[in-house]
Amino acid sequence: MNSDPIMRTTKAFTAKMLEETNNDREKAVTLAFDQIYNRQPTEKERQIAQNSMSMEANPQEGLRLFVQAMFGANNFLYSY
Amino acid sequence: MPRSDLARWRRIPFCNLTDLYGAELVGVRISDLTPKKPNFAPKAQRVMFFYIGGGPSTIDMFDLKPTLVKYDGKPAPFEIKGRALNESQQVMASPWKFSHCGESGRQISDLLPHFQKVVDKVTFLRSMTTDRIDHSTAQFTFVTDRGFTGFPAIGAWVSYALGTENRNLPAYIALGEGATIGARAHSSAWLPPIFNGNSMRADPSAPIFDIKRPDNMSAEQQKRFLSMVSALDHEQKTQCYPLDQDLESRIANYELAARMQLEALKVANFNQESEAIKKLYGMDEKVAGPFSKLCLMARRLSESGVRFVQVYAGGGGNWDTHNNIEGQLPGLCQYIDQSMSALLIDLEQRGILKDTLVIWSGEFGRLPTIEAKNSKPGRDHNPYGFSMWMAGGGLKAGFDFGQTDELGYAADKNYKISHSDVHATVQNLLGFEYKQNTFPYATSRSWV
Repeated sequence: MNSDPIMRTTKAFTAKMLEETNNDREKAVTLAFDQIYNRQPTEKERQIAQNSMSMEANPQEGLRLFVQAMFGANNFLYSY
Repeated sequence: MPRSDLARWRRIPFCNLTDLYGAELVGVRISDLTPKKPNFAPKAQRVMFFYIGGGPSTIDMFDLKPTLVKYDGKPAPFEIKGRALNESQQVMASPWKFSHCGESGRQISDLLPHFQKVVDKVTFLRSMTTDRIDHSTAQFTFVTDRGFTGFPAIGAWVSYALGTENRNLPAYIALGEGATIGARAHSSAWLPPIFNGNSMRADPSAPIFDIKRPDNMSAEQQKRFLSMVSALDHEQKTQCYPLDQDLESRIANYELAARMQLEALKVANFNQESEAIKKLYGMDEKVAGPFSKLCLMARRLSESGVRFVQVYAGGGGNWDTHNNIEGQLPGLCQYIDQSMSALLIDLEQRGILKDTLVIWSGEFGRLPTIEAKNSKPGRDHNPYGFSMWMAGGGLKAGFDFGQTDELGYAADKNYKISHSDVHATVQNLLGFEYKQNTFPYATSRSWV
């Protein structure tokens, strides 16, 4: 999960999520869950995403890091 | 050890889901890598397992048969059964000279000049057999006792029984390539994935693919990323699969991967080794160089607390000398000879050979007769009798167990042994009773 392709993919994916939600980061998180896991996020998952965005000087990078974690998590392996 | 006993050992106890979940509910973590106490005082603490995939011709390496000279070019005095003999019963003596070596006086081929100097340190098993004649099925038997896919490798069983002594490294690591059956040769199969053999390379800059943090990611971000993966996995486990052992193993694997980021790079850093050691292993040698790195890495991993290191010697069917054995075997021997011999010397000098079990074997040997008589001659697979060696770990050095017949074709029936017996011996030397090393697999099927 440290490879160049995953870094590039998560950057492009995050930009697309923000573009499709008019830069509404909360909606972007919901859309990311829909696109990656085919479901809505739980309250705890929303909180994890929010924390990531608040801890980065650039919230978009926080969202990207969270998206990278989504791709690295077990749930992604079994999404369809 | 009769094979039937071994079969019982590997029979998975019939149990229902309640049994397994019950174990979890009372807090028994079966996917735990923490060191566990053996059943009795062990003679060995760790294992290095040389996997010589393809079927090395042990009668040309360390099992001299003078009778082969008598029948060289003539029909064998008894029927030789094979797989692709092309109807040949024509005996072929070893083309190489053998020399008496060491105090034990055992005769070793001049193809292995370095091994000739350390032969007193090893124990030969000279009556090995297997019930499989093709590479894939024989390699499964070699590492799992079963001639088909889907069962845990011996390294996974050892890891499951004893855990790791270094929480920053896996218990079971596989180095290099060379199995026809690929990564299944170091698979944990239905044991939890935390006991799977982790593939590593002897590359100081990247011993594991993508183990290094990307240049544009800070250490703090990496830490947070891993923490988020763990949090997402825990949330999924809580919400959907509270009793899922595989998910628990995966979480543990990620946590281990994070800890490995520093440790793996440290272990792979050969700069910490003296020039004398690098020279001993032959790191600058053109042919021996690549394997020397694997051997040195194996020693460094073992020293760091990795319980079981599996080293693959040669890719694919390199040792599968059906044709042109005279052209192929010298190079193959040169590839492994110096480094594997250096490893024994190095382990002894460091005082850890006595409790490190080193194993060298292929899935089978090769026949004393000629195959492919219309081209440059080679030898077909021989599952009926071949040799392997072990060293250290409380074994009797310089001792030979068993023998094959005068041609090196079949094992003496009074000493016939198989990889199953070797696996049981390995576990015994590590201090646990193989019959008690079972796993409560949640299935409604009864495995035999």
